[in-house]
Amino acid sequence: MLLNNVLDKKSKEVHTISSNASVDDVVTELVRFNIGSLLVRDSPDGPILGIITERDILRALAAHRAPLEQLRVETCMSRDLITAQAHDDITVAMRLMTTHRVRHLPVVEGEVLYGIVSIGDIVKAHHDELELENYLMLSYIQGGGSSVAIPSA
Amino acid sequence: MHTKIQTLLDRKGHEVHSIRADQTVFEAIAQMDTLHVGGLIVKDGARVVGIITERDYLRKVILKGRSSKETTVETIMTRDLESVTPDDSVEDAMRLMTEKRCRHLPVFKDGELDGIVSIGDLVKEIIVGQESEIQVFKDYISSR
Repeated sequence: MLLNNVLDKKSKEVHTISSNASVDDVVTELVRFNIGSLLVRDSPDGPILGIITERDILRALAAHRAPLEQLRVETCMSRDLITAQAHDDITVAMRLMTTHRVRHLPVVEGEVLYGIVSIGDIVKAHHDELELENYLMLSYIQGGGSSVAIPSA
Repeated sequence: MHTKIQTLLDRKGHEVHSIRADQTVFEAIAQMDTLHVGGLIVKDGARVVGIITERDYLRKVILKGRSSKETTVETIMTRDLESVTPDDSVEDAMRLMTEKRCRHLPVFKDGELDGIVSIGDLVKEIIVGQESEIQVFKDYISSR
């Protein structure tokens, strides 16, 4: 399954935050949308500056820095963005996440941001793919010339 | 992917990082950061009583304006633990994590804690499994 298929099934909506916002604001957004990361950009059409995740917030607290409401996104975010292409298979996403130890991948099509996938999205997609394979194999083994209704994957 | 959780644990190790229910959330966060993990099993003596994750911290401490140094692990941990056994498959674990929306599963063997698997461990196992499958095919083809 390709990443653009995965994104077609969930939402292509990308949640962002400004580098000037506080970590408190980040938490509010993450909980509101039930997500684990926000892309950082300072204007709607501006460049993506990086990403801030739950793990970054954990690190910031453990580093015993200023109270979280005084911490800015720009201090805690990651600027080295690992991305995947919309036409990549989910296996590519799995490799990237494992190698770079990240749980979120912005998905691009050339220069354009297509969406963002999480490790949870990838695991679900892999599971759906396997269920479909099992179903098709079972149908093949059991024979039957009539048309087979394929479960929506 | 019919690989068993047992195989995964033998590869990664059976070590389980835990914290006591009466310790502070701050101590839990510090430990997670040092160990590079997102969750810790919570124990009361030898008994497993729950799990605490970075997500619990965000939703139940920061959002509620509590102080992590003044809140105990017990207050914010999740008590109803999903779990797997070493005989379950990687696929079973993936389905459970997707359905229950969790990223960590303790592994119980005959009622005893035998390890813990994270969503990252499962994804890594799939990649490793695929690579060895490809190798098996390559070896087969080249041996003809």
